This record gives sequence, structure tokens and C-alpha cells, in this order.
Amino acid sequence: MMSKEEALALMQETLDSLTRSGTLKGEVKADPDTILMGTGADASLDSLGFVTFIMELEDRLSDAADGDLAIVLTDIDGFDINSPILTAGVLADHLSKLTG
Amino acid sequence: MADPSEDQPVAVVTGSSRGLGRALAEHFLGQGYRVAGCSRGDGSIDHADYHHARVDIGDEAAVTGWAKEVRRGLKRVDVVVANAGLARAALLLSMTPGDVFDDFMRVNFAGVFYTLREFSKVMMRTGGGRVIAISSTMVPLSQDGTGIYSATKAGITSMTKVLAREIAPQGITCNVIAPAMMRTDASAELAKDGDWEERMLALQTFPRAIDFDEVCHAADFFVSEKARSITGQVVYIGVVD
Repeated sequence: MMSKEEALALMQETLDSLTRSGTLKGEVKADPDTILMGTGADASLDSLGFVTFIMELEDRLSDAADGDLAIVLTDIDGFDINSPILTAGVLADHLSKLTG
Repeated sequence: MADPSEDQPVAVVTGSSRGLGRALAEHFLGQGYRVAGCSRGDGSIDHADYHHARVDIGDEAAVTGWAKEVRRGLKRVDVVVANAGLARAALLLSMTPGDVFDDFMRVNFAGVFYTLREFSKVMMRTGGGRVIAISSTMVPLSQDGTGIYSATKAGITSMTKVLAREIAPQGITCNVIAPAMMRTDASAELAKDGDWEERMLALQTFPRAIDFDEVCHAADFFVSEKARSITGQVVYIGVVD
């Protein structure tokens, strides 16, 4: 099982990789309060950035867990599809659960 | 060193083991594409650049897994053609059982949704592409006995238009090809019902069966570089809308 800290570190590696490849325009810190997906200007990633981040993260997570893991937004505790805001902390908790 | 075949474009075609899907897959192979095709059964195309997967497109997990395999194996997706679907014996709406409705929604509508969702994500990641959804002229014709089938095809058209807006910023176009009656295994099954084929052809502007190559030609147009700004459009073949 991946700890929350390990999950945040994996997310940071993924974000840094996307920044290096030019997919993300600037650096994004995977702090627990960082809003990865949101409805307004508070969101750190645009729609393309978020989709790419999730796909890249799934690949890294699957490699780390040595299995095929998928991140399904509606499976995340604390994520409301009617008010779609996702923080790095909430996603990290989900990744811990997913790998448990 | 990168595999040189990774420069070769990739087309994804659902329902590629027979009928229009097979014709489209062979067409793209002839154009130099690598083709990832799927059907519920074994593939029927023997070509070095053809990659078949057994996938029920109404199964979300199966489509998600297949898209991952394609992305990891072929590294890119340039074209996706959401072709697979059901065409069954026509029943009046008032006589249509719930499980027939469910089948149509699962395969024709949800299946296309899963296909477009998963492969458009791959295109977003690789920076561009072409989405083509196959609909039907039954949508504007509103014929007896096609209530559920036509509803799924109309839904596909609306969904593709919305997707066209959503992913245009990533350089991806999404269009719909809606052919009139083609001679396929499914239409042969329907044609067993007396004068079904004659009645269908009588509704068309060109009262003849549409050839697969006419659909391939429309696909070529949407895929071409010159069509890079054409998105959210529906091309009817054989019928005036």
C-alpha cells in the first residue's frame, strides 16, 4: 500500500515530467491543498493538463503497483461530480486506497 | 533508438471484423496506417500492420483496457472511427422489449461513448487527431420500427458535436458520417423480412445500396489535412436531410 506521502511524491514526479515535456506551462506543486481540477481560476491544470496528468499518473501507478490500475473520479471519496473540485490531498488518499 | 514504425500513423476502427468496419480498416491499411481494430470475436484481417483485439465495446472496462493497450503498444492514435453497433430486426416502439432497448443503448450509445472518451484522451496527449462516428440516415428519416436504433444514432451525432467543441483546442476534429442502407450481414438479416430492402431504398434520394468505398471516401476527406478546420459536421450519404 502506498502512503499518502508516497502518493504525493508520485504525483509530483508526474507533474514535473509534464512540465519538462512542455505539456504543462509552469511548475505545479503537489501539496495536499493544491487544486488539480476545479471550475475556476484556482485550478492548477487546464482540461488538457488534467487529462494528461491522470493518464500519466495511471501509468506510473500501474508500474509502481505492478498491475493495471485505473483512476475513476467517481470512485474518489470526497469528490462530488456536481461540484468537481479535486485537490492533490484527496487524490493522494485515493491512490493509497487504490494500492491497498 | 525509437522504433521507426512509431512514425507510421495509427487508425482505430471498432467493429472491424466485418461489414463497413472491415472495409474501413482495410482502407486505412491501404493508406499506410497501422490499424487497431476490435470486435467481440476473432479478427478477419491478415495484415502485418493490423492489430486485433477481442473487445465488447459496451463493456467500459474492456474498452478502457484496450485503449491502454493501443496507447502503450502503438504509441499514438491519429484517427478513431467509432463504427461498431447493432442493427436488429425492426419493432414498433410500443412492441420493443426493455432488454432490446438496453442492448441498443449499451452497444450503440455507451459503446461509442467509451470509445470516443478513451481514444480522444490518447489524441489529446499526443496532440491532434481525427474522430469519426458512424451514424445513419435513419435519424432524419424517422422510419417505423427504428425508434431505439435511430435514437442511439441521433445521440451519437449530438455527443460527437459536443466533443468536437471540447477538444478543438487540442487540434482534434470530430465528425459524423451517416450512410444510407449498405449491404452488410445485419442488413441481410433484416432483408429476410419480405420487402424490407425495397422499402428502405425507396426512402433514399439515391435508391440504391451505398458502397463501403463511398463511406471510406468521406472518411478520407475528414482525415485529410485540408479538413483540419472542419468539425462537428454530419455527412449524409444517399439521402437529403
